[in-house]
Amino acid sequence: MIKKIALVLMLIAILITFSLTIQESKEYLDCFSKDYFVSKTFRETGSKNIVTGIYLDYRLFDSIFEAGILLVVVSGIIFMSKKDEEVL
Amino acid sequence: MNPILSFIVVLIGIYGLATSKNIIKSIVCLNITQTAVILVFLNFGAFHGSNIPILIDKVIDMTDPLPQALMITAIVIGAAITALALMLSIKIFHYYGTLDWKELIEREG
Amino acid sequence: MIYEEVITLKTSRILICISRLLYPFMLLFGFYIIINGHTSPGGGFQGGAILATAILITYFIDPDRITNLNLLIKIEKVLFILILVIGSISFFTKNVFFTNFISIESSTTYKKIFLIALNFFIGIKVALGLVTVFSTFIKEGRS
Repeated sequence: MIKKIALVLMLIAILITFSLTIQESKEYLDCFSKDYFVSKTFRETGSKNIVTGIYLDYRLFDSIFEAGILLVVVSGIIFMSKKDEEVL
Repeated sequence: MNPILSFIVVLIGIYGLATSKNIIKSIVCLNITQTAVILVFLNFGAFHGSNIPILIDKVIDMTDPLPQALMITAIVIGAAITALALMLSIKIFHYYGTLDWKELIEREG
Repeated sequence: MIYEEVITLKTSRILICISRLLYPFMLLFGFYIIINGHTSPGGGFQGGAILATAILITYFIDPDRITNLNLLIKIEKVLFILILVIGSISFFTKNVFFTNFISIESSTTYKKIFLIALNFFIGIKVALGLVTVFSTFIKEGRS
């Protein structure tokens, strides 16, 4: 019981810290990257959907190896589903 | 929506992760935490009455497209982690015959 | 004994009929989302998830339809290498890895070719991966 009360107190402390950070960081927010993407994405990548323009052109490295992660996970699941005699 | 409200859901997920006694419940809490983190990131770029980031006719009042493009990665990796954790829990159940954290720790020594 | 009951569980005929009716439309919707990923909401990953659900609905129609999992993962590996090659073509035209291989001054109609091709391959790859994961879980539950 004491452990749970301590855990709840810890989580409340994290919440207060997070909300204070949000309040302070509102002064420093800017829209620089958003303005850049809105004004130049269609000319530079040819896509009207800005999200597709970002993940298939500006950050293609990220999305290609994300597909690689999916491939590795599927291979691992097939490996784990085999019995001990079937493994090489 | 406020980012603080989404962060409360993150904390609920962490609480469940710390106090759950079954492996399946732990996986469910992991999913709750991951989805809530995605909500927090989406709430930073959005404001009330904003449009989707697609250049159809109105360019004004658009949400920030960068967090949305990053969160696609997070969603796919979350699905992969969930599948891997479920497969591991199936293997643990076949080997030990139980899914309770305390019994597993006692049997392992 | 629990597993034997799961095997003999029968799906109702209404569900089978509705699944047969719905299957081509779900495939069509998934391909629409993938092909139009550069002008409307959607894209490779989202359309791939829809395609995977459309293929997995065949488990209601015929539970023994998907058997060859090794072929599926072989196709997935080939598609991943193909995506890597398409991403690396830009090294020969622009000297930079992983961007669009058409030069930045050309018109936007030619640049769409890269986006459509990459969206298509990523969509099929994600769909095959999710189908393989789900089929492996079903095989694990039956054994």
